[in-house]
Amino acid sequence: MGRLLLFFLTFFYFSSAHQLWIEKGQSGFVLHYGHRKAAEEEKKFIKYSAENIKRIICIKDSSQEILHTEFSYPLTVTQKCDVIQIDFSTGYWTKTVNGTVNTDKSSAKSPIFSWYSYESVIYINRWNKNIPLSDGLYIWSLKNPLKAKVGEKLRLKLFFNGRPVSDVPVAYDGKVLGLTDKDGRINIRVRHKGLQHIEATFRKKVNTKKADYIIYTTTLNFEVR
Amino acid sequence: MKKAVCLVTACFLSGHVYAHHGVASLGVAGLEGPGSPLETSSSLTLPEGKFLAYLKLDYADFKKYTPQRDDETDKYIFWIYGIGYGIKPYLSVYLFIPYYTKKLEDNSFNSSGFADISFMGVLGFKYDEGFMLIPERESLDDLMDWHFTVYGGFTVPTGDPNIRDKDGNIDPGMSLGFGKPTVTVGATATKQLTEKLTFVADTNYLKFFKYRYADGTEYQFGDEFRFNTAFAYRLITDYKDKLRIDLSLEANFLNLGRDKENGVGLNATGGKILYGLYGFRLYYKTVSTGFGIKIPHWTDLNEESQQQGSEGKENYRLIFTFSALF
Repeated sequence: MGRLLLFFLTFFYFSSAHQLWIEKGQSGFVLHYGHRKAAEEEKKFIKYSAENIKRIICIKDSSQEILHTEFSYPLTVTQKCDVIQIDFSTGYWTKTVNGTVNTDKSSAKSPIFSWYSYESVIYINRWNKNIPLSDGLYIWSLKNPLKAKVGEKLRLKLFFNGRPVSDVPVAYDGKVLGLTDKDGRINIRVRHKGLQHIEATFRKKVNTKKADYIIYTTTLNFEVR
Repeated sequence: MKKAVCLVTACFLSGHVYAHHGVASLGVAGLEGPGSPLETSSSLTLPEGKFLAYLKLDYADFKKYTPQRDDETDKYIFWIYGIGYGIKPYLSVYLFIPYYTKKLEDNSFNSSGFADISFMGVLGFKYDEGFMLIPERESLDDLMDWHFTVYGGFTVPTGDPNIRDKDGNIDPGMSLGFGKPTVTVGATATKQLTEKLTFVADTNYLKFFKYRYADGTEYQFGDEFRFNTAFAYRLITDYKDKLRIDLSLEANFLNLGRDKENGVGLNATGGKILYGLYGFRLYYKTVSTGFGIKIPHWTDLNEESQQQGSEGKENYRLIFTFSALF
């Protein structure tokens, strides 16, 4: 029953939350924030600032480099990377009796609960089986997803601080398709060509003065041709 | 009459007792994932450590061929109470306790009470780049793979096989038990074809054994073979209210062997029937309920004109199921 409740909560979360994704353009890897498949009342792109970008990691030939790119909106990374990871945060959020505000619990009036939002997005440009383990939450494919065909299953694994993490809902194109198993694994079928968008969200209780939780969200992007 | 009634009894003690359908919710697959028909057993196994409470009503109303109120079979009402448990994600066990009411048109020989209890084990496996046992956790995409089960079960003769009418005669068909255990083996296959449409096939074989009744008669019901196919279509999914409604269409084939009395094949027993079952299933949270009407569309009974009260001679049958996962 707990799992079922989690499913419904997560369903609405993925349905309404903002998304982070990377697209590969002619100028490089472009970071977007907003609603990939925006409804009528939603904006597809929401402007973010340099403060939101926490880290940019470029992985090439199994070595990784932290990039310090000059910011202009939208963030564009021009380096040639096999895999690029961008960490992003919109900071503290607090649900109050008057709605949700972008501030921590100690600064909010009539707080109900508060969280710190930490997101990461990984774009696979060239298959690299031996990706160095990262901290935080991330999804990785157990075989080359760039060779996947529409209809084929992807075998994915979710890590948190380098360890497999279970019971985490994973969504494809915003729709939750299941929970990771005890080995952090989940299988998801490719449904269309083009940019693939797979997300997972993990909530960790912290109970500080500023927040009750850290909500980690990770996204895996790659192209299927 | 006696032979015809026997056939019906035998039928109700087989497929219905062993049908293990109606799982309300499997993890995230409550409101989506494969559908479950009403009669055809799907290949869903119970989640490990979870129980399934199950209730089924099968109400059969028979055609009558004489204008007067005589000893033609009027109706049968079969209740099945069941409990299932998921030992492993791929292994479920069930206990079923049936309660039967059998009524003749002139009430000359009615019977009612608990029948033979039954036990069943279900082993589930699937195909995903190779055959494997059902894993602990499957995504909605995994649930769209081919899933299979093999199952086996037996009854324990707890029902009274020697019920007598007011003149002291025993009619095996009106009894509540078979006197001896019965054995069933079967297999199912399920494929969710699209996000909304699920195909299910189910086949099983039921073996009866000879029993000597209190009046000295040796009686053996004919063996039964079933092949069922079904489509379940998800009509409505309401995520907010956690509600799902499926349409269920089934074709159920039944081949009844000829009964034997004192070693001799009995006239007016056995035959083949093809039923259509039209129903729907409603899911709410971890509870599921189904309702349908089952109609014999084609029959090839051995002595058709003498088999009033037999399978294939119903006006209709109403099916109701309720199940809850906890």
